[in-house]
Amino acid sequence: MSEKISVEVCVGTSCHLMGSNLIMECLDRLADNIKERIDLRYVQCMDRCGKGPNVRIAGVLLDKVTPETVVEEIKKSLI
Amino acid sequence: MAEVISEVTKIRRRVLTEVAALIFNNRLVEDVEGLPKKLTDEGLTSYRCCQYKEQAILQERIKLALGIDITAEDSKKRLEELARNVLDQPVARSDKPYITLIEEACDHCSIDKMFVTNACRNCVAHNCVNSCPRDAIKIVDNRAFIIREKCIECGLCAKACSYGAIVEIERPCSRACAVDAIVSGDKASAAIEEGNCVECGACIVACPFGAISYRSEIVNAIKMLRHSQSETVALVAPSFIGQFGPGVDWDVLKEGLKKLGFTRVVMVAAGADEVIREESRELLENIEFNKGVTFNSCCPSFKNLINKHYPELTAGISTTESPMLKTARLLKKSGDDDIKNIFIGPCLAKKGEAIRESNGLIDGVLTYEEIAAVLVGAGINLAKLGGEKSRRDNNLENPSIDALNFCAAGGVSKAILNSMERDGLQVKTAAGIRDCDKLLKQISRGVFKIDFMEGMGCQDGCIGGPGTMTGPAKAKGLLKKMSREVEMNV
Ligand code: SF4
Ligand code: SF4
Ligand code: FES
Repeated sequence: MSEKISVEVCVGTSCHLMGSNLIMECLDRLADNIKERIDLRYVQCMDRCGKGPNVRIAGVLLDKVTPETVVEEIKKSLI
Repeated sequence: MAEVISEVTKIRRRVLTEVAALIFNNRLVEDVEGLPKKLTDEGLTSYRCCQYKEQAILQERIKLALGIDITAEDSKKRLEELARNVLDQPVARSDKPYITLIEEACDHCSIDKMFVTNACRNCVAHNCVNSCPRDAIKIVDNRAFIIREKCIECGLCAKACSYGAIVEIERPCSRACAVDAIVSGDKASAAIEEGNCVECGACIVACPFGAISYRSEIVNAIKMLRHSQSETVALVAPSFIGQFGPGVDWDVLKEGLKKLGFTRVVMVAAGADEVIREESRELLENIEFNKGVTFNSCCPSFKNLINKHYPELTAGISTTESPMLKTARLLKKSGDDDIKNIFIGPCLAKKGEAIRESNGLIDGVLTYEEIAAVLVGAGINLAKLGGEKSRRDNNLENPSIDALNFCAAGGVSKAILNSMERDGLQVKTAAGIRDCDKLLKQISRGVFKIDFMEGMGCQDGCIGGPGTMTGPAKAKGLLKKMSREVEMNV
């Protein structure tokens, strides 16, 4: 299967303050074969500011994420 | 510091944001008492033994967010009363160090430095015993035992053990502090020795329990923004680039700060241009009169290091004002109350500098994380703003490339060299207090002769400051990009 999955990262000020830049940095460091299958987008706000950083992976909203949980989720949805 | 955003960093930022929001919603006095419970109910990490301890620590964090000196006796009052006081009283700033220990949060990490682990096999060789110059190791119960009274923590035993069974443990805070300012406090917790502390903030980043934090100035700043009849100017440090997330460039940031209530937003880099000229002149003079090494004056933490730990070198500190003060002076004269200057940057030491040296030119210093918390508290999301392209006709928005680069290690000396048009200048640079300390030691001993030393309290320079939100590697890349753009425009 080589369909791409969408990964949306909220870069609103609230999520940024809670570390969304770390999420982006960890996505940067992913292996190329995984990166190729990701459709990365920045989102201005996901309306859950108090629970940042927020990401949406393949349509599923995840709050209070850390780089580790994001990578894990991405790998799961790619299987 | 932003390479890692630990849970405790998030807690500090969360508290700042909540406090800011309560002020903007006019609910601070009413709701502050319930804030610790609200936060733990929402699942703010409970790494402590119980919710009560967690809440007690949160109370202290809230006090720091309110700008209260938690070492003072009258900080023991209820949050509600403290909140009312900070809102009612006229803006008063104290020269007490901004960096403080939260006694309740300190985990009393072991301070016995050399530690025998279970890996000790009571071997025949007993290299540890033999290596100890003070006879401080005995074999007790089939295992090496260190007699605390005799141990001088030289570390030879750890090196000698073939199994690596002896380790050197040090409190993370004191390991991070290059000037031995973290000492043991009364109750076996850590304590900060004011006389040694250079306000670099390295210990804040290092403590895994978030037991060291800083007094915030957000309340004062919000009050100035909301009630002041006067002009409120945001003086933004050169290192702002990339600090507020993708897409937030100067125009967007400016729009956001204006929305927040700043009447003017200027670049401190503009003041840095003035500093380059002046400091170069001074350096030339110092060389001519054979006055020895000149040190940059722009980093307050480096300056503290010289003043407190190398008093014999203080004469060499450049008398040129820092870019912050230069820019502030361009905007107002001391005693001029019609303008409020608020510096926004990556730095904690600037808070002290503003009080000690600004003569009232600077009315407040906020870190990037503090201003972001204020923006969020006010409901402003920079990512949603368009950033109207304003014309930068103003000279306070057109700094040179050299001035922009003041925020990265090596930038100051490069700027000076560029402006000096003189060959054979001997220059050395150091970034991070530990490296600065090493170099200063050599200079003080006369190991080499140089003309100028650039010292930065933070690794990577200001882009690695304790108040940043974006990692220095990323910031460096964006800085390069911006420099190129500026170059193309001229
Ligand atoms: S010098 Fe720096 S690391 Fe040491 S106590 Fe002061 S702020 Fe902390
Ligand atoms: S390097 Fe910059 S951020 Fe760090 S202490 Fe010095 S002036 Fe402050
Ligand atoms: S800023 Fe991320 S959800 Fe609002």
